[in-house]
Amino acid sequence: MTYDFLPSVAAPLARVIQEFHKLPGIGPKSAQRLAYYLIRMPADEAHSLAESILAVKEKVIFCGVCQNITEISPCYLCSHESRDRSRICVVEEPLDVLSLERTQSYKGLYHVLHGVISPASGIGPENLKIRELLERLKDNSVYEIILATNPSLEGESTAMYVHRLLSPLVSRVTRLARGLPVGSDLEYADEVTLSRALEGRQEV
Amino acid sequence: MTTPQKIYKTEAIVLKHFAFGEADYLLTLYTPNAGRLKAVAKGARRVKSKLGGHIEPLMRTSFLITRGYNLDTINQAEVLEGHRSVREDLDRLSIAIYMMELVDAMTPEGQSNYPIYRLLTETMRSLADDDSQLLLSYFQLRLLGYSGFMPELYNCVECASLLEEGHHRFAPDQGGSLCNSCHPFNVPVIPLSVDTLKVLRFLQKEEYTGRVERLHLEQGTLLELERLLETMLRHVLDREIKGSRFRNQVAHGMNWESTPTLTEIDVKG
Repeated sequence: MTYDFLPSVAAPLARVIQEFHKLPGIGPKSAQRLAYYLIRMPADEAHSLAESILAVKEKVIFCGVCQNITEISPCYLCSHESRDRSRICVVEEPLDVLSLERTQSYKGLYHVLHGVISPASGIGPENLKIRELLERLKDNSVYEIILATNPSLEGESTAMYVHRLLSPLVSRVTRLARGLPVGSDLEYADEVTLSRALEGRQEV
Repeated sequence: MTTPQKIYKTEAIVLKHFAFGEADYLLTLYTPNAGRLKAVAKGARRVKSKLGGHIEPLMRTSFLITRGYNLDTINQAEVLEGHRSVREDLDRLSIAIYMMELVDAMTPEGQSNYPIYRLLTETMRSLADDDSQLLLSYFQLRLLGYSGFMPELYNCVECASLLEEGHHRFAPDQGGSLCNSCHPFNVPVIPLSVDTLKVLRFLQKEEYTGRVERLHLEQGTLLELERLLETMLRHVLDREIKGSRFRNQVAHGMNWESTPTLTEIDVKG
């Protein structure tokens, strides 16, 4: 979308509208509204916004160990003394680390794959951070790998693929349990989930 | 004037899904009566979605769908066949993913083709306890046939004469086999042994269950079959089949850096 044909829009404003329009979920109208809001914004806030955008591009890097998004490498989690170094939890995306951390019940390390195997979209194992995971296992200090990819078709294929690669290298490879989510309804449960929930039933 | 029904019921096989919007999936379905179609499953990516586990790819599911202006929306879904044993085995899964991609690529949207639906349903069932190359070859050949690209295996595609005994060649661009005396200029050909030709004719005629599955073939014949059908499909689709790469990575060892793909092996004249 260009505003070249609209001389009534000041050039710097047109540019900012165009930039906003590139963001996901921002249509032409939202882009215009955001741009006009910027004009009324206090100068220091605008500076802070601009500076934070630059900072996120310049300072954020991938952790050399777990591949998570970080400011320092190795990242906070990888260098923390209280973490259990014999366990690595393999996840699809950086946001999954946050979700698992929120549970406060996992004290090991992570490994972020940055995607899943998705043959239909042309994403193969070579596009993920699997090689980096294999590197981490070389010193034999890892006892368990927990595969925490999504229970979707892509997540399952990735988990099975990684499992096949790792099983000769690690003594224990586990997969997150699949079952019924808290607050759900048996009526709507599918057969695969329900049969797995039955298999994984526990003493009350 | 009749208005089309706003809500319709159909069963379908989920060919693929695509994350869409905040928590939705855009599904590509293959239905028995309306062929391939697309529908949105709203909120299906949320943990507590009632659609969730019913609309995963490979599943055969019963749907209730509302027709929309642009996209149809899924109201209800209940899985009929979850194909758990396929989902939990990497080799079978890679074959199933490949089959879904083939059907998606080979079929036009909204055009009913019941034989393809039946083929896909039955092959998925067979895949539960049979992950042989032969099953996939059967699927590929039949899919080509039901899409109108059944290779010619009895007459020469160049001179139309009946094939005589001996080693023949297969020309994917021409859609069939060549006799010994025809050498069309600038047409890529694959060698076609008598055994492979016989197997292809058998696959063309016979059902898989009870007949084709009993065949015992040599490794060389299977490999020839695989190359021939893959090349033919690639010719018809005029593009790479992405799932084939993953299938090779799974089938021929896990070292993805040195996995040869069929496409890298040149078709020789």
